[in-house]
Amino acid sequence: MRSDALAFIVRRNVITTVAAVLIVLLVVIAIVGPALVPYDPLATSATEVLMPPSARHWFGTDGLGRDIFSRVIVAARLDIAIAVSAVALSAVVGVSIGAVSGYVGGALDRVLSRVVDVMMAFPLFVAAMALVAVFGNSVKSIVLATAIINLPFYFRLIRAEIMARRSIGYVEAAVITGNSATNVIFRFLVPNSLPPVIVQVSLNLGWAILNASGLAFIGLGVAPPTPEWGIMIQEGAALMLSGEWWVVVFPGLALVLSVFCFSLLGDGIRDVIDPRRRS
Amino acid sequence: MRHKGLRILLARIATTIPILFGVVVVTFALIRSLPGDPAVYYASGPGAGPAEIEAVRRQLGLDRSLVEQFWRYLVELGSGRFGNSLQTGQPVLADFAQRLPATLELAILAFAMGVGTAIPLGILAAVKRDGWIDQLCRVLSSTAAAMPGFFFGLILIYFFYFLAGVAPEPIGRLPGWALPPPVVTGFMTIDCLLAGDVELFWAALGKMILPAASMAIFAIAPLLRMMRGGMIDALDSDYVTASRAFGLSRTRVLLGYALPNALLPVLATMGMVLSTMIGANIMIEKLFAWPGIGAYAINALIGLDYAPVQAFVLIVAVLFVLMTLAIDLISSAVDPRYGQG
Amino acid sequence: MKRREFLGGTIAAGATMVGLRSGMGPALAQGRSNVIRVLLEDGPNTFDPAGTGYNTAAVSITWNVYDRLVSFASAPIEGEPGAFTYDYGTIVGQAAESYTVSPDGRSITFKLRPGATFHDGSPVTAADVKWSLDRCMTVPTAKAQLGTGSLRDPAQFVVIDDMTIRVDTEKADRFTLPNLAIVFPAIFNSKLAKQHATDSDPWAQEWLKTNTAGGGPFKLASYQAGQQFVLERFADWKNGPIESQARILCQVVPIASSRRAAAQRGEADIVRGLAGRDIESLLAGGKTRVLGIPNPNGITFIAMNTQLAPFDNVKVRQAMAYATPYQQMFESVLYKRGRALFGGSASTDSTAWPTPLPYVTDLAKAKALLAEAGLGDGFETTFSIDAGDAALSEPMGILMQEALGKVGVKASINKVPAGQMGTLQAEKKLAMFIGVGNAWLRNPDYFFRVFYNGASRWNYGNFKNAEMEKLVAETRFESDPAVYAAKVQRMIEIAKADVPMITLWSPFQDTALSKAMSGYTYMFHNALELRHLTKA
Repeated sequence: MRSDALAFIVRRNVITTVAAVLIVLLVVIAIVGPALVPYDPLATSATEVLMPPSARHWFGTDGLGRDIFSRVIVAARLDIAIAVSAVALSAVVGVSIGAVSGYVGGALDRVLSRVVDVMMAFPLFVAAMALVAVFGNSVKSIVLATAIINLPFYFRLIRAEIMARRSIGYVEAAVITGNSATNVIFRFLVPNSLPPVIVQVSLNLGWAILNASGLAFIGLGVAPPTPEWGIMIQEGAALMLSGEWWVVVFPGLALVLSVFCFSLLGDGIRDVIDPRRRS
Repeated sequence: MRHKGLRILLARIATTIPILFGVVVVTFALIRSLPGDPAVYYASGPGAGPAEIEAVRRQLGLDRSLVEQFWRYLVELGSGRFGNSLQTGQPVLADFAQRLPATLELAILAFAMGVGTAIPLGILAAVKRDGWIDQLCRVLSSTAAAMPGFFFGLILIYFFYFLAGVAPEPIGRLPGWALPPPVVTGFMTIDCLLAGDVELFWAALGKMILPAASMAIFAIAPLLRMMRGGMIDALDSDYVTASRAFGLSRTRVLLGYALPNALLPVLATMGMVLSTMIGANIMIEKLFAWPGIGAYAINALIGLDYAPVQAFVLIVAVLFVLMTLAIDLISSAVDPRYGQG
Repeated sequence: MKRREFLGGTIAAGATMVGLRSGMGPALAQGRSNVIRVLLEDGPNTFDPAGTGYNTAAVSITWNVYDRLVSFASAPIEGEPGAFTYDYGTIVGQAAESYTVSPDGRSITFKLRPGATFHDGSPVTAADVKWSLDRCMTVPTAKAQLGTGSLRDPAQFVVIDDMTIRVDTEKADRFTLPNLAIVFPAIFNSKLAKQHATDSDPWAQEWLKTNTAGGGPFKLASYQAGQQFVLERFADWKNGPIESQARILCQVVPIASSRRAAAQRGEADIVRGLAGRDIESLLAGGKTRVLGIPNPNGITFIAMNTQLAPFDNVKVRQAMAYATPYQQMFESVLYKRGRALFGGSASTDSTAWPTPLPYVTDLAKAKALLAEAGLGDGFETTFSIDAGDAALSEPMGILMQEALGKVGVKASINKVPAGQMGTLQAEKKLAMFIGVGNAWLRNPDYFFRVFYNGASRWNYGNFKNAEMEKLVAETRFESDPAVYAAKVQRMIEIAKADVPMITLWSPFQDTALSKAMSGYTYMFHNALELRHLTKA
């Protein structure tokens, strides 16, 4: 029965399946890629500066003679790690706070909601920039900044879900049978409210990668020489006007492809969880 | 009835005040926790010893306690002053007056491009649901959603400027040698027309096409998806089925009945898209050397220039709040059920 | 049906773009011969020549809109026809028709030029000069600089009559006159400025930040902050010829490659702030003229904090100097657009400074020195670069990191936003970083006083050396050339042996010019000097 359902879903969602396969591939690359690349992604070469793509350097070399193919592959791990940890952090924290706020209600809820309103009113990207500038150019602060600006969405999502379910029969039953508030929230309410959160998470992953690359493009990325797609695009941006397109295009395509897969997967998951809202 | 509406409006505006105050407090605190001391940054000159740095700090008013600085900032804000920019030397309001029209002009064109592409495609995808057009639209919107605007902009520059040479140089709002028309509205295209310079108008418009297209790309996905979703819901609804049953023409049903109903959720998304275009097009402005408020804000942030950053965040927050308010009001005017559930 | 409409729309947009390109021609081109288009990296942040936190772009305005009493003469650059550089040794009158130095060297008397006026037509008087110099004594930036020329107190500026002013110093000081020729001591139209002075702001600092009150060769015709400004010649300027009738249109283009592209297509007359690869491709393109003007007073260096372990050990600093990949940086980052300051002679027999330090890349020697210092296994450190200068400093940092790795030193690169870099330098918190030093006054003792001595931010190596301090103090007023030369040579020897800064090169001040331009003049401040420019 279950496997039949799965087969049906796969048939109905060819694109989603392709996206899922690509993501698995991406994750595999992120895990084993660094061991397989033909060149040291950090090794410079004075004699092979800005070579166009060739059999020797599939994606060409950059301004310091580094192999772009190796750098693009190695960067996958960092970019995916940043996105996953940022989204995980904001989902866990946002869901916890939002659930408590929605369940407890009253003054606490009013205060927290106002704080979230303030966060929502902030221009998101400027907030992220300021946070990275405050915490310094490191992976940690990029993750933190991305997580913080995402927090309000999870807070609002789960809060609405919890408030809608607070007075449903099984929850009231759980309260009457003497479950603690913590138990009610995290054993009964949250698990039942998770589907929209999961959809949000899958849609958010791609967005987090975009956000991190945007920060890098502005100059607030991870420290050099660490390979990262956004930084590679920023480094090559200047070369686009003189025709050395490969420095920008390959990391850019890697970025687009992974965000693309995550977003298709997010759509697919939404279709499965809530077919009515398919888009 | 009208009084009631006014009261609701005022009450809604009142709820935004604590939010804006919160934005002011957070911005003030955030920017002052930036590492780096503006006094040191702006005290240049070979003799910049501790004494000169101290003198500059006093001049900037940064020697006072944080509470006092905040109070003075509030008092200034209360009298409509946003302070001076250290980087341009001008009052922040004057800078904004000059740059906001540039941002708005670009955002409006980008918005029009985004809407003009996404809405027809969304309708088409809904009508031809699950057909190849629908699948194509889905791929298109996912690709657009995955494409960072600055990367798209770089690709456009490469093809249209470097290779084909049909686009003007990706710098600013006017061609190199052109002197700007007298400033009336601040919107370059309008000012060109007011000055009667049609040729310059086309040139200014041409300068906007690549950056606006780079910005529009991000609007495609949310608009297309909302439009398609809304249209599908509308087409599946009883009244559309009923109108069809009455034998009304397909086009008439589509455009006269389904579309207006489907547009409501899209309206909210449009508001989101437009406010994002105004507040978050920093990378595009930087890439195309567009003299808008986003590029201004980031330069200020990096240059420890507090006043413009504070003003930028506040202005964008106000825009956001107003936009949300407007969407609420329009939505409840269009659909009385809105906001009651 | 819908789809066709949409496609039609796209094609129309494309056609418009093509139309624009070809239609841009005649009307806009008409302006070209009487407009000189300059592309700058960033916009001016003040119009006050003595102003707080001014940037180079601000000098492009203040230098041309205001006069000073005196200025540096200019001299042709050898091998670069039609291009000039300032002559530090020859100071000529500007607002002053002439000046005389008293026999004891302690006072200089300036005669103002009769008939000279400010832009509003009011005459330039000694009272204006006095007010302007007095003002310098209250603006921190100007005051600190003029102090290096013994100018500290308004009482030193004495009005003799309407057209004569005398400047007194306690001792004869060879830095007094050059200090009067730099950017800060500009002459204001004091009557105009005073109208905008307030009780809390007696020197009209607020007003002069956003308004001009000068009498220089150019007037500020329009200004849009951060975007562009237009300078127009002041027809009644009496203090020399203004070669060109053209208006100067200065536009801010923050992205170097955009500036380069404009230069390449011949769409700009003067393009500033280009480096390395951009210059190389311009040279290869052949459409533009690139002036690479050597700036003997600018140095790109790697500084080490001499008060911080392990760089407090001179052997470690020398080891770093031997580990530095000079040639690779010079070729693949700078594209040789500068004068190398490495691989020089170990002995010192002249006062020429900056001079190449006696280091070359020699990893074996670096390892041996590290072993001698007890750090044979290497160490970990942080190498900081300025994010505002990332185009050059980032690849340099990466090459340095790689080279240090080869001698066992694990350096992590810290990319610091421009605003923070100054603070960290001033607070002496950086272990090792790339920096650029530029001294306005050319005497070598001045350079060592600023960059190898004292508590200021500019002592990048946080260098504390008793002998250097003594020499710096002794050379301040030394008038015997032989004694002076001996002491300067000793300072150079210390710089070579102690290496608080690994000097890399003096970068060229590269400027791309359209073929129509001539009369380009390089001034010490590296901003625009406009009045000799002509456009064919």
